[in-house]
Amino acid sequence: MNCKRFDSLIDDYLLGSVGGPARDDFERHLAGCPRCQRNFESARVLHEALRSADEPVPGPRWAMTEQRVLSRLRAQHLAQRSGFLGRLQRALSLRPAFDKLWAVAAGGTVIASIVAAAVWLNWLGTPGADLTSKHQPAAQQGTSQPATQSINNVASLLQGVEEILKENGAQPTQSISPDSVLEAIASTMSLGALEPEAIETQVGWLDIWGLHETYQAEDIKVTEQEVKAAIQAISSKPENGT
Amino acid sequence: MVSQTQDVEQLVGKAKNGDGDAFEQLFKRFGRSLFTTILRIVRNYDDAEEVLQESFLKMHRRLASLRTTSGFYSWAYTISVNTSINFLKSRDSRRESQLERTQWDSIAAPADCGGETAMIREAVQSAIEKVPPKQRAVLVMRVYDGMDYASIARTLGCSEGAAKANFFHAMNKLRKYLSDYR
Repeated sequence: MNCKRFDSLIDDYLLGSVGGPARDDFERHLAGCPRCQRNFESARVLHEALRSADEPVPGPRWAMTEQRVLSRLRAQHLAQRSGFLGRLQRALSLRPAFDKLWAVAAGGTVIASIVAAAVWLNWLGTPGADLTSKHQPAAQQGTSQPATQSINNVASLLQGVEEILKENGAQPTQSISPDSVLEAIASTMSLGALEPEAIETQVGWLDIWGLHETYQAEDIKVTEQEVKAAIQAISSKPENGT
Repeated sequence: MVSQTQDVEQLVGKAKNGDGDAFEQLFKRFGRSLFTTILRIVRNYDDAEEVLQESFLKMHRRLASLRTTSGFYSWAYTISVNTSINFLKSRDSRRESQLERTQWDSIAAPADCGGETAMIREAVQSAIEKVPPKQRAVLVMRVYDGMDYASIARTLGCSEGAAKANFFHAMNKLRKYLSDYR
């Protein structure tokens, strides 16, 4: 074995993947070549440093990550069913890193909208996760089928903005009026409408963000009037306290 | 008694038929291991979480194309690694590496590390971050995940020679970047 061949095998040897006659040749050359002994020692130190620098075990933090990802996966299931949340999330590029960048790019306007919507959720005393099921009965009792659909869409929207709110670590700090909430939602929706790829897909419960190879596009349109009607219906609905 | 392999195959089969709970179980079974590999490649916790999520979204979309229920992990690993590489390619153009290293250190540094160890770690982390995405992925697969070149080549969809070349270049870059330290 010559020095060039030795150099080409150093890393594999240190990773334990040089065996048989090649290993014997390698070790024989190592024992008799000062130049390669220096290179070997240098490589050994590098491998040791690589191992020592690797501490990627998430530990307790993993439990939080697991819950966050599962929550998002389940949210997509809801999105696939309701149609609207997926559109919103696509429009907002709902991902941890991109959310922040997008929020900065938007000058904080959307975050303010999100906070507003979340505060309104608190104002309603309604956990976002239960919005759909909570408002469904009232809609069925006192509104038409289109209104019911609007309510469900708005409920999904609010659930979505609450998720975004949590992602960005925002905390509601003041009470706001239903009108400002309505404005915030309308603003968010208009941003969504500007997104050319803001179409919902019906591929599967995790399908989102336009990364799919095959999909059936279905543009779910919700007008501002529908939102207003839905919010009026929700606001006028007697709270059941749960 | 159902073996672990059979159990996974059953979960994959159910997930292929649209069972969301089964897919969640697969995530719980393999998510952490895949996350570890993703984190080693992208070297930022929040980004790794995003890549993990995106990877599982892709898996779900492509489940129907998975011909058999066996080999799910290899398939999931392939998707995760390639998603990591693609993510890095787009991320590197919009983020500062210093921020990434700071975040990585806050995750990776053990509490009892001494000064010398910390310096070595910082130097290595800094050097790894300078290695291009694909070479870095090969480095992770080879050094940390113990994969041979044939497996790396299958994962990346390249030749075995290309996998070797990427590893060779990655290690040489590390040597170059760390030469000042040594």
